[in-house]
Amino acid sequence: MVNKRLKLNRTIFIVMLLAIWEITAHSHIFPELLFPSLESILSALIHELEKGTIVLQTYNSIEMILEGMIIGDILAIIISVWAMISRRINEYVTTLVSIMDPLPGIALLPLAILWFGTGRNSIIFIIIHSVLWPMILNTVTGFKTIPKIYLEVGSNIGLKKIKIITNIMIPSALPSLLTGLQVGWSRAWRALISAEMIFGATGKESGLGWYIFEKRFMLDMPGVFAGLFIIVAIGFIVETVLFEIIEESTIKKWGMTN
Amino acid sequence: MECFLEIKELCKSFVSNGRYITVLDKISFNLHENDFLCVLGPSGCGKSTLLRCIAGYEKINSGKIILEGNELTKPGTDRMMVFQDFNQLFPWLTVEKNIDYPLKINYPKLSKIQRKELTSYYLELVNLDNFKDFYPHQLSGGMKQRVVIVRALSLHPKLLLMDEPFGSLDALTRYKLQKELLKIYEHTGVTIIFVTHNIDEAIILSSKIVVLSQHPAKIIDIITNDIEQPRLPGTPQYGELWNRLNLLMGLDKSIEESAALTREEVI
Ligand SMILES: Nc1ncnc2c1ncn2[C@@H]1O[C@H](COP(=O)(O)OP(=O)(O)O)[C@@H](O)[C@H]1O
Ligand SMILES: [Mg+2]
Repeated sequence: MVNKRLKLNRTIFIVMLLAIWEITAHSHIFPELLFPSLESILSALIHELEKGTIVLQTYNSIEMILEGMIIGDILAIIISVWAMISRRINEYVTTLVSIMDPLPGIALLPLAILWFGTGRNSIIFIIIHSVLWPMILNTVTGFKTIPKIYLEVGSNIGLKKIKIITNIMIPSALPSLLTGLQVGWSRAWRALISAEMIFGATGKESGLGWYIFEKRFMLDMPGVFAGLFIIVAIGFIVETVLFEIIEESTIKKWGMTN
Repeated sequence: MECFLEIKELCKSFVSNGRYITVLDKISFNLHENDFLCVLGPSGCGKSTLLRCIAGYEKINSGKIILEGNELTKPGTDRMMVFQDFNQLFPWLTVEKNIDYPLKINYPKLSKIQRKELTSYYLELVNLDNFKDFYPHQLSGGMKQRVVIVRALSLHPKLLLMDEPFGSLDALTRYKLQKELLKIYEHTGVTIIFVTHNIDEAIILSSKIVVLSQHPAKIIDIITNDIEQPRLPGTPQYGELWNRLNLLMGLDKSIEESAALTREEVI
């Protein structure tokens, strides 16, 4: 019930924002070129969708982020498991995380370009950097706070090391793992769009960031907003819808949230 | 004759704040198959430590633990542990899967259907078959403990180790579970070591009682309990044993002593 009312409130609020936007656009306080109306944004969006380039570019962006996240998150889990072996390794890993974690991915771009050139690999590198450290941080925290009793029950029922990791430690630490994934995703998504804007069209594989950059260059404001709309929509779908579904079907179902 | 379980001069100490604290001091006792041993002692005396040593969770400093001729050093499915904590089922598995999973690990040859049959057999044993699709957080404390007990039994342990498993339950549920445990004990003939600080619980359940002292834990007495079931507090034998255990645990004496201490302090 409360949830429904919240959702209704949220919808009303968004409708209000859109109305304010529309009124402002039609009042011509700002030049139409800089502040397009919702209709023109919508028609630009439809036009772009029909043309198909924006779909391809969205696909490119998503493909890159998925690739980077899969590599980064698997790496993070391996490193975190390794960090559980001894207190000293744990110390090294934690130190490394505290050095690397505050470094915005996009700040590594010049370095990435030197190492990998201007292209897909540089972007993947930055995405991996964006997801790796927060994932290690959360995974290690998750592992450290596993109730000892689960590990003891695990060894009692005859589980060996690998099974303890995959079947006890990972599900026990799932709430933290999901937090790590979520933080990593939002960092990577921002880094990806920024990086694409900076070196954009290298060959055919450009993404959403480059799309917006290009539209600005051509002074196609409705097009810019159409691009922004897609970025917001994907962010919303992943962060609010997808993660919510994952939580509902795992940790919430299992009573592992407080 | 070789004994089923033999504990020989078991010593265990912990280092805390740079000092050695001896918790178990030369504990020795024997157990026959099908015994129901209650380890009785005041809180903090080392009962859990003793059980954890037998389970293989703690390295012992000296002495021997021998089960059917084999010295024990690490955890194994021949000794299944049941803790007091209500959160020892895996929360990410349903009740059914919590029992199924250990079976799958330990009896890889069983088919899915065979495991399913076993699982419902064990759940029926504690009247929880209707809850098989529930997740642990949807169960009451008493229900969780019953699932834990049958999960342990399903692996056919030689020893069932129970560390105050009913300690956090309300009196009524505790009483029901004691009855159920006795039923299971008679039904399966499993050998049990059951730790408690509750005299009544020890009397109701045990066939044998080991009484421990405090700081460090030493065995004060080993008592055979052959009062006929059902063991009712009103009967003379019950009362007699209760008084004896109460005296051994020094409860009344300590109340008098502490009363004396407070008087001295007042003077
Ligand atoms: N891991 C440990 N490190 C240091 N001291 C411990 C540890 N485990 C138990 N102890 C100490 O051993 C004593 C006995 O504890 P325990 O076996 O839990 O008692 P009981 O189960 O009889 O209440 C206590 O004084 C406790 O502080
Ligand atoms: Mg204890």
